Amino acid sequence: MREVFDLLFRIQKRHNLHLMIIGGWALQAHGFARNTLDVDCLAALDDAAGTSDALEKAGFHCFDEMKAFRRFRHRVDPMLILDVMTVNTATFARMWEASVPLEIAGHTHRVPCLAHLISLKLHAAQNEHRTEKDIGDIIQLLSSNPDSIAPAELHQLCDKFGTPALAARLHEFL
Amino acid sequence: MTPAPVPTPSPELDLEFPVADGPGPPPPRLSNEEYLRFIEFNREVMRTNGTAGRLLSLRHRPVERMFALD
Repeated sequence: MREVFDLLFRIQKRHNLHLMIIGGWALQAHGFARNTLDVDCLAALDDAAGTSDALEKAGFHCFDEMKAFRRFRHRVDPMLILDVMTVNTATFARMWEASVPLEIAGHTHRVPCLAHLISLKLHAAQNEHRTEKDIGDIIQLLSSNPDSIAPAELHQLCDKFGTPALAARLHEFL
Repeated sequence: MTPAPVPTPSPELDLEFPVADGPGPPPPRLSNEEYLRFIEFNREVMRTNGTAGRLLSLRHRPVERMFALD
């Protein structure tokens, strides 16, 4: 794992691009530690190709690709999995601006701020196969950060990125 | 002086769950270094006991639709 964070740091330096850490590691940055098997990161659409090239050169190969996601596995250590999610450049810029630091493995990485992380989770939770996992993460994030997201703001996030059913699951915070 | 009576345990009360009178303690927090060691330990256990491949195949698939703030 340490080597992945080291690699992501070097890719950003060498290729003059930004990556944000999301997934389980971003939850840890916001005070909720749960197990995770991989490292997930977020890239601007414009940087997606450069990031993929750099990962390929570092020994990763892409084994799954969707419109907004590329999944990489290391050729030598198949347990080393790295997912790269992409968003449009304007969204990335706004998220980067509001991001918070995560000091890990000797490097300072950036993770989305709490509101943006919850927005990402609401977006993901709309998909039935992910609902339980992501709504659980949101509940833990809100419990770990009481008073950080006001009920009115959470309402807005649910309206914009979630569904009424997801909002109902968060009723104790609304 | 008569000693205070010792309360007799009630089987009914013993079966009751403790009643929480508040939101409960906050979840435990780990430092980033502790968390890194925790994840690396788990990975090593999975590698050793052979569950890594199965667990990796059970991961939730990512979302196909692109996220946007606007």
